[in-house]
Parts: sequence; structure tokens; C-alpha cells
Amino acid sequence: MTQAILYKEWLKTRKAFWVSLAAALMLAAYACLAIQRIVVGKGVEHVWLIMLLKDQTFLDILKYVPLAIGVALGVAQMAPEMSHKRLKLTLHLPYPTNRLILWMILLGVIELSIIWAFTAGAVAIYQSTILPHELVSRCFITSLPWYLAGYIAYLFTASVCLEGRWAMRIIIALVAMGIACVLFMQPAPEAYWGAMGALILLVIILLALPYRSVYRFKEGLQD
Amino acid sequence: MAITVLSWFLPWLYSLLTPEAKREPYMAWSPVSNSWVWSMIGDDNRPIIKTLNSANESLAEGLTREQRDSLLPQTYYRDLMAREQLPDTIQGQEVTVPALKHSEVILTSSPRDIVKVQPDLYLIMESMPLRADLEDPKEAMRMLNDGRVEFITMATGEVNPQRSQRFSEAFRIAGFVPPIHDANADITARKQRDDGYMLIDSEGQLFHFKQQAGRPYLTRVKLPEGVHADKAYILEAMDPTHVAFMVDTEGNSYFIDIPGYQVRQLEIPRVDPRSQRITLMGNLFNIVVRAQDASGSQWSAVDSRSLKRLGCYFYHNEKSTVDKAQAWIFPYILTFASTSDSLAYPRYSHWSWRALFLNLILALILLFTEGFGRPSRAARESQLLDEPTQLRPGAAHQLLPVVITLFLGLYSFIPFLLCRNR
Repeated sequence: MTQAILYKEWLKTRKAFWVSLAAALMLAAYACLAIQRIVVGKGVEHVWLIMLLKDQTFLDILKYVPLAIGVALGVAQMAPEMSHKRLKLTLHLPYPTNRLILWMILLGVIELSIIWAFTAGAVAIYQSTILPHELVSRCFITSLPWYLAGYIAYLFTASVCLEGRWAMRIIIALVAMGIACVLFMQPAPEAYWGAMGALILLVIILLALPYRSVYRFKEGLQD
Repeated sequence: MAITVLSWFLPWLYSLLTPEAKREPYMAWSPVSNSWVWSMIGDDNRPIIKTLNSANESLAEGLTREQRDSLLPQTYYRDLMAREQLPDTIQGQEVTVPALKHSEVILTSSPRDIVKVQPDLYLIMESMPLRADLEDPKEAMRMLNDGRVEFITMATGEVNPQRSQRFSEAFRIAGFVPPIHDANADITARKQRDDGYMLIDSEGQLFHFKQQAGRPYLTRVKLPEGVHADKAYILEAMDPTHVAFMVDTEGNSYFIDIPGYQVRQLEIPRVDPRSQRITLMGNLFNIVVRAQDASGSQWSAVDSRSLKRLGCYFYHNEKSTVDKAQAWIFPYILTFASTSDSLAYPRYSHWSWRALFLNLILALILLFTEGFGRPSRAARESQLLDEPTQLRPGAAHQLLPVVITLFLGLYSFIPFLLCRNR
């Protein structure tokens, strides 16, 4: 049954997954090419100087990509559940509700993690050929809050989609926007490093958010 | 979660909707009248200029710009030259444009540039290049945990073993205790000379470090007994006398002067570069240091030779009506970023008991608004629940939003009001 549920979720998300992965990799390649352009034109030293003296990471183009992918994947996975109230059928499957929701969310989180791993990995592999490990890790740490924003966007989108009432959907969406804003507030490199533990904890807590919407749905709180 | 978001969002929205211009005076010490020259742009956009004595008592008010220029020849010498009003001597010193330019020292320091995460990589310039002009750095240095340093050639990313060994030896001999607590240099080829870095080790010892013809120049500055360096700035002024400006862990300020790396304390109040914006402006006659933070600006003037105090002035930023009103609305303010650092983490500030009045009103509204103590609309409209509609839990549960709103005010009132019966 678990395999069937995972397969059902994969069928819903596979197009969004492949498109997101391709888009993220293309933008990662673009970011690397932008660095390579400077390397060819002015030398690697210039990249070092800009990164160390101007607090640049050359990754700004990737900044909002995880956020967009999180929303896209959340919509692709959860919106079909709400059309014609198919969620009711899903919840009537002979399978424990909690575990069912867990697998649904986990599949989304795993897919996002794969996209993040490929994107961050591609950038890190390129950077490590021209930059020291201090600067490679600096770029990675700087982009970590963006990836966490992607998870948060996914979980909130799932929660909004699974919510039965429009008023609550709007409230959840507004809270999501507020939290997302916080993660993009400070542009300085590694600015969020000290708060990373709290942010990871927030993502773990937010895993429970779609449960709330599903249980409200089960209670009949629908427009 | 909504309460946390609103604790940040509502004060941010309030400040966005109530913009206000904060004006502060500009202070300079006049070597002509031996007094402060106080200048500020008034509400009618006209300058208000006056002089204050060392006790900050007003001497003359309503001065014109031309009068101010004459009082501050060290700053406005170009205008005075154009009007042929530059004096020949001031305080017995010959005044010429080259002498005034040569004596200029300017330093600015912002907490945002200090309180941030920095990689342990230090760009190294060549202080004695083969050609006349300085060149951009080609190498960077990292310090390992055991005190050895590695020189990395940026073009290849490879470690230069000979240079690494030579510099590691220099650090060992100088008694540098890793890790590097603070490093300051001005890395640019657009300057007349390179004085390298001022380094502070983990024990608060101060070092002057540069690369000369590929060889290390590392000198420990002998600090007075009990003084531990916290922050040091390389100055690279035209006059090489002042090599560096240093602040110790107690907030005392010093110049590091050649010859002999003399440590000379400035007779000014304590400063904190990690929370205050520091501006140092030196000239032939005096040195003015401004330490600025949210509460205001502390201006200090010392004699440029003796470093003895000439005057000290503190300008307090008065709370505006907008700030005062804010204290009646919000019980506290949550921010994640600050103008005084480059870090992001939650910070609660501006706790205000005045907001309790509004909190009380909001709590009472919540208490008497329709819905408390009655079955919720959610329960009434429930379609899937088989059991009969039940009353809400006991009074304690009903009162919880009211009690929370009593303390958190608007931040909890809005979500409780919106989410009830939703």
C-alpha cells in the first residue's frame, strides 16, 4: 500500500519535479557561467577580490528559485487532491491517515532535497575548481536559508491547498509570506548561520502544518 | 506562528507608514576660536550655525556660512583660498594647502562591517612592488589552528610552500597566538602606499604585518600593561606618523605612532566599534572623533599633538511623536536584521508597559465579542462529526486568548479574532 501511495504521489509530481530540476540546474549553470565569464575576462583573482571585499557570492540568480520550486511542487502535489474533493477518497483508503499524510509530505520533501542536492552540488563542484574551501562553504552557507525557504514554501503551499476554507487559506498564505520574507531579509553572506539550528527546527515543526489542514478538512471545515 | 510574524510585520509596517527625517548636528573644532562649531540644517532647510565653548555653552549664534568657513580653515581651505582669506598662520603654525592636505587623517568604521561572519582568508598586497604603482593582491593567507600560515596563489589555488614556511616562522618568532581575533587592512591598489594589516591575536596582542618584497614584516606593538587590543584600524594617511588607530577591550582609544610604534591614548570617552559608528577626522590642529549609535552622537575633540581633550559634546536623539506613539501600540518589537550588524536572528526590543492599556482594551473586546463560551461555528457547521455538537471546553480554555492578548496585545488579538470560528 505504501508503494502504491508513493507511486500515486510520484505520478502527480513527476512533471513538476523534472521541470523544477531542469530549471534549477540551468540557473545553477548560468550562475557558474557568470563566474567563469569573470575568470576568463579578469582572472580568478578578481573573483576572490569581489567575494572577499564586496561580500558577493555570485549566486543571487538562485536566490528565489527554491522558493518558487517549493510552491510549484506543493501545488502540483496537493491541488489535484482538492479538485472535486478527491482528498475525501484518499482519506478513505484503507491506510492510517497519519502515515498516509506523512508519506505524501515525505515524498515532496525528498524530491525537493534531490533538486537542492543537485543544484548546490553543481555549484559547489564548479566553485571548488577555482576557489578555496572557505569561499565554497561561504557560498553554500549563504544559500542554505534559500533552500530552507523552499521547504517552508512547499509545506505552506501543501497546507493552503489542503485547507478547506478560503479565509483560512488566506491567513496561512499571509503567515507563509511573512516567514519567507524573514529568510530573505539580510543579504550579507552567512548572515543566517547563527540562526540555522532554529530555522531547521522551524522546518521540522512545519511538517505538522499539512496535518492541521487535513484534520480540519476531516472535521468538515470546508466552503 | 502568526503572532511571531505579526510581532515583526506590524512594527515594520508602522515605521514604513510613518517615515521621519532625523537630523543631527555636524561638529568641528575651530583652531581659530578654540571652540566647537555646531552646524545643522533647520526645518526651513537653512543652516543653523553656532559656536560652543569647551563647556558646551553657546558663544555666538546665527553665524553665516562664510563665518563658519573662516572658523574652520582646516576643512574649508579651498573656499577660503578662492576668496583669498586663508590665514598665513594659526596658533603659531604656518598654514599652507599642502600642509593641511598632508595632515588629514580620515577613518570611518561601521558595526555592520565588524559584526559579521568573515572567512578566515586575508588578501596580501605587496608593500614594496617592483614598479612604482601598487598592484592588486595575487595571494591570500590563511592561518591554521596550530599558528602556521598558508599562502595561496589565487590564480592556481595552490599553496606556496616556501612563502608559507617563511611567514609561519615570522609569526612564531613574533609570538602570535592563534587564532586571529581581528584583522584590518585597506585592500586596494588605488592608494599611495600599502601599510598592510593591523592584526590582533587571541590574547589581545597587537601586530603590524605586511609583505615587503615577498618577505614578512611582522612587528608586535608593545601595549601598556593591562591593555588588550580589541579593534585596530590601519590608517595609511598621507602623514605616516599615525600608523593605526586602536580601541582596547575597555573602549579606550589609542594612536599607534612611528617611530617605535608608540601607543598614545586619546583623551576621549570610551567608544565601542562593535555597536557604534566611529568617524575620525584629523587635521593639522585637532582630531575629532564621533561615536554614533541609535541614542545619539558623542563628539570628542583632542589636540593633534598632545592628544589632550579640547571638548566633548553629546547629542541625544530625542524620541519623536511617532516613536512615542509606537510605545502605546506595541508591547515589544521583533526584528531579524539590524543596521548595526550583518547578522540575522530574532531580537526583541522596545518593551513597553504603556501598550498594556491597549492590550487591556483588546483583551476585553475579545472577551465580550460574540462566540466565546458558545459552540464554535466550526462545530456547528461540522458535517463529518457523528457526535452531537458539544460546547467548547471550560472557562480556562476560553480565557486563554484573552490572557495572551493582555500581554501580547495586537500581535495576538488579530490572529485570535481572525482564526476564531474559521
